[in-house]
Amino acid sequence: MLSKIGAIARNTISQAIRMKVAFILILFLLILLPSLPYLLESDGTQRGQVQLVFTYGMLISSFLLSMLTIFLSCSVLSSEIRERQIFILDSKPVARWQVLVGKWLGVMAIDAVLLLFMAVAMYVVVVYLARPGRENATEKDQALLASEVLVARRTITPEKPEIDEEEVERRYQHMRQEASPEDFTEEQAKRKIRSDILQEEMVVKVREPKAWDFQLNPDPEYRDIDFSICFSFRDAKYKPDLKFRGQWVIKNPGMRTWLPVEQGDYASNRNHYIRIPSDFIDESGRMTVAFINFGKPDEETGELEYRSVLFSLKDGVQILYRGGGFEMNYVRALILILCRLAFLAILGIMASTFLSFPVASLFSLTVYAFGCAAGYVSDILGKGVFATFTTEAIRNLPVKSLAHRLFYEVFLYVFPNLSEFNPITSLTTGMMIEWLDVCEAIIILVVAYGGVAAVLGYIIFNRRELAGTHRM
Amino acid sequence: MRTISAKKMLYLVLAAGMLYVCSMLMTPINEERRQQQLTHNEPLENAPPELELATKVLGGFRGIIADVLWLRAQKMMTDGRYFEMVQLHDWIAYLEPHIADIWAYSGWNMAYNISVEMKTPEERWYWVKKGIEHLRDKGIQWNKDCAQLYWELGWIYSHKIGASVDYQHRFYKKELALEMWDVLGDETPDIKAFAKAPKTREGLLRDELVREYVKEFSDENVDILGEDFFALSKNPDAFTEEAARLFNDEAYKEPKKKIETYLRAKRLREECKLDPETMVKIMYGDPDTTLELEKRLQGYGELDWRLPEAHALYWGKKSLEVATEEDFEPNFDRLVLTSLEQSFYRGKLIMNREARVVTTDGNYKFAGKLDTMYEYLFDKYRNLPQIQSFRDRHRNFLVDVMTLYYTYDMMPECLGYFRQAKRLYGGQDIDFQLTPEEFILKKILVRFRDQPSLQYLHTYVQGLITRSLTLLAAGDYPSADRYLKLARKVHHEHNMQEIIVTEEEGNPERKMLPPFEEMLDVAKGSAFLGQVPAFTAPVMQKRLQEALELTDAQVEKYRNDLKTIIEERVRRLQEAEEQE
Repeated sequence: MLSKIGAIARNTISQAIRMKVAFILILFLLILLPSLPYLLESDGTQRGQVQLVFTYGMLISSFLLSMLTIFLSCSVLSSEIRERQIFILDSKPVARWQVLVGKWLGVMAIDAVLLLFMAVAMYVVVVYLARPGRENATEKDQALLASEVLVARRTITPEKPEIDEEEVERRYQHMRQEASPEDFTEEQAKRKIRSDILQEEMVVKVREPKAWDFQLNPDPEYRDIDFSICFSFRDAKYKPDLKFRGQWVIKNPGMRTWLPVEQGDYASNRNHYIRIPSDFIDESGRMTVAFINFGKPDEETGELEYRSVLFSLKDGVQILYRGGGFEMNYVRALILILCRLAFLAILGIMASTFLSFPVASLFSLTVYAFGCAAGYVSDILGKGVFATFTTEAIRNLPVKSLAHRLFYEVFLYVFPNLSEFNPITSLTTGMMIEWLDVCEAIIILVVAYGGVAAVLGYIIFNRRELAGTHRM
Repeated sequence: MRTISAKKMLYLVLAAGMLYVCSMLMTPINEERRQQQLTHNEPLENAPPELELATKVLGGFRGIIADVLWLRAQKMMTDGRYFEMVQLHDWIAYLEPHIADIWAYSGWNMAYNISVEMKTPEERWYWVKKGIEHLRDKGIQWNKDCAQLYWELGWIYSHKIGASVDYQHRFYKKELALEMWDVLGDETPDIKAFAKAPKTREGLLRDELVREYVKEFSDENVDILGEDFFALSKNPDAFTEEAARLFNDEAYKEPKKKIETYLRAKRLREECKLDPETMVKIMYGDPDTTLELEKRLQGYGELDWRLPEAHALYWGKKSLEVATEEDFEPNFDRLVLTSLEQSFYRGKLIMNREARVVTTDGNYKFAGKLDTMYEYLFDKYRNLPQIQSFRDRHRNFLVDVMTLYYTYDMMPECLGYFRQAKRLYGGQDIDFQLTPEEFILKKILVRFRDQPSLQYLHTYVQGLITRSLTLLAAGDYPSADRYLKLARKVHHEHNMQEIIVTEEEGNPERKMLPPFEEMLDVAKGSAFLGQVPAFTAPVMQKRLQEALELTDAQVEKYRNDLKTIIEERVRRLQEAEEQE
């Protein structure tokens, strides 16, 4: 059985080689990747250039590989059907599922080789651009590259404060007096109160500093490069894009006084990063970070207005620290890309079991485009651009809005969210891609979505009368 | 012959039906396009190949791509990742080169939003400059008739660099001044000569002396009409001995000057996109102007093109030249008022190129222009409710102009403005009964009387002393002396008043400034420790030491004394903190 599948895969590879598409792609990447530093304009720093070239190099390569996978997978089966070569194969003792698996393995082999080539080329370009001796290389840039780009960082959130259960009870009793007990159960109400208390802990009033405790990994291996505080807040009155003057101070258990880290005017609803020297963390790994809100400076007069800010509970304040090396992160990113390609290959082959090459390609491209847009659609739905899909909304909203909402909800279920499995942003900003993410991609993209597509493809292909006559 | 099957017929009918429905939608779509000015598609002038490619090849798809890039740019902003922003803004603008709002937003976004996210002044300046270049070198070049873009550019110069809304504004001013000095080549460049200089190489080579001089250099393989001129002036060792000799040969002084003028005018046009002829019109008056304001002003004055307000005026004037809507004039008036105010309050540039130190001072030469501007505003906007705010501003200006003339010991001019102020506002202010000198000192002190802390006045007097020291280091001894005198007078006047006022309450020292000599020593110590921006460069500290004729030991003593004072303050603060 394996030899039959292997033979079909080998045949698919030679078919692809005959098409010369792979060579053209290699040639294109060979010219494009080294040219990127000259074609793209970054923020003028070495780090910025490395990140920009890395991001667009990966994006372009990944996009081209996806296109190649779609066209190749749609063509390998449909061309055989169109040119009636499939009759020979069909007359041999080969099960039809073996044909499909063979084709898929052939396409994946080509993909794996091209991805490897792309990965090596990209790595060489990045290492070349990030080398210390470059013209615009400064010590600061080198440090930033090491601590924020060519690294795999994890995030850690602050330890949750303990909730005063007496306060919960007091608020619950007050709530019972105010509202009818039928409106909520005790458990629901207390859950809501606890969440409110936690959220209140994240409000920073003017000149009332708020501190967060972190427990980092004390292992020296994780403390050899600088850390970053990543934070974002919003105006407590929910007005977007305001600037607040604030100061960050830090402290470890060995310090008596706070160490000021940075003072500045920070825009709301935006991520900000502050570097902390690696030697700041002591053996205990404990650290306290505090923010002092000075208020909102007036744009013209500079006078400070009393206004509170609100940090998100989930990711309002985080510490980014070294969690692993860049190279292994790169490998995991490549596996994620390969998972996306594996899904596209299954999709293409499935589509070509019942569609001609142009229609199958169009179909696969549409799924690919929708899959890439799914993250954006999901963001919109999450941010409440569309009405929340609740009973009340259904009752009050016009049918058109509901139809829109329904369409997008279905959209998210039907199409795999490919952007969720896009490792490029994490990779180029030095964020850790966990093995768990890789497993998730394998399970969701390849096993679940790919599995459904493969079964569909098998059913259609198995039932299809390949030598059937068509009434013209 | 094959017959058409029923299925195909059905498809045909369906296709025709859909086509019909689409055609029904075309009328509202076209109307929408007309209303939103989406069909504005004039051919681009001087567009680079990539722009031609983007607009022609992508056709209608470019809007979709621009949207995707826009969403990405917004996401990058939210995530605090800015390394892609220049490229993304460029691409978006290339895809929709005729939509002014895109250029305006991108330029503003880089100069204002992204710059303030940067940690160092150098990084901030990079983004402010990118915003300017985006508008000036690309947006305006491909939308020459768009008044909005000129105005936005002028506003960045006036507000972002010229005003003090950004706490790094001094750094921006310094960088702009240094860059412009490199282009202009002189502290007081002859802009009229730049305007008269030939615009082309051929035009310059018509001069026989220049031709001969150029030939001498061509024998040395030096292109003196190109980059080699500036390279030679900066680093003659990189060229042959003969080339260096020729460059400094007094016999060729005249052709060399002509070449330099031609090259600098060329750099102004090509690098800064400033036309020297327009610069002359702005400074000395435009005979063809139809604007009432310009007729009254007869030129905006001797602008220093190393300062942002000159650029703001230039681009503001350009915006008005192409504006088709009348409501652009108030925008322009606002820009002119701000620029003239900035020129008056700090239009005198004091800088040292080697030390990269730049500071500014009031320039009384703009007092008359600003006064005329106010008169014009009073006439033009007399029926508007904002007129009172203009009058308040004018009254403050008159006090300031008197103070400036008083500081520069130009008493006749000071007296002239005192009389004008008394005539216009004397009825509302009893202080006009005082002598001009008493009036000025009182007005200075009154400003600080309402402040919650004595620290404000302390900082002001300390600032006057530091300014005096800066001017001393820069070699402007008369101005340095005037500032020191003013500081002394303000100090004396305040302490005398406080003695009288607080004697009855007891503890008069509580509201008094420290002894003047002590404040002078602290200012000197701060300068020698490099704690003052003007004295961060050791060369400036050295110049101050020479100007004050101090020995190294005395300088060290100033430093040590200040260190002791600071340590003492820190110790007291720590004690207070611990007690808390």
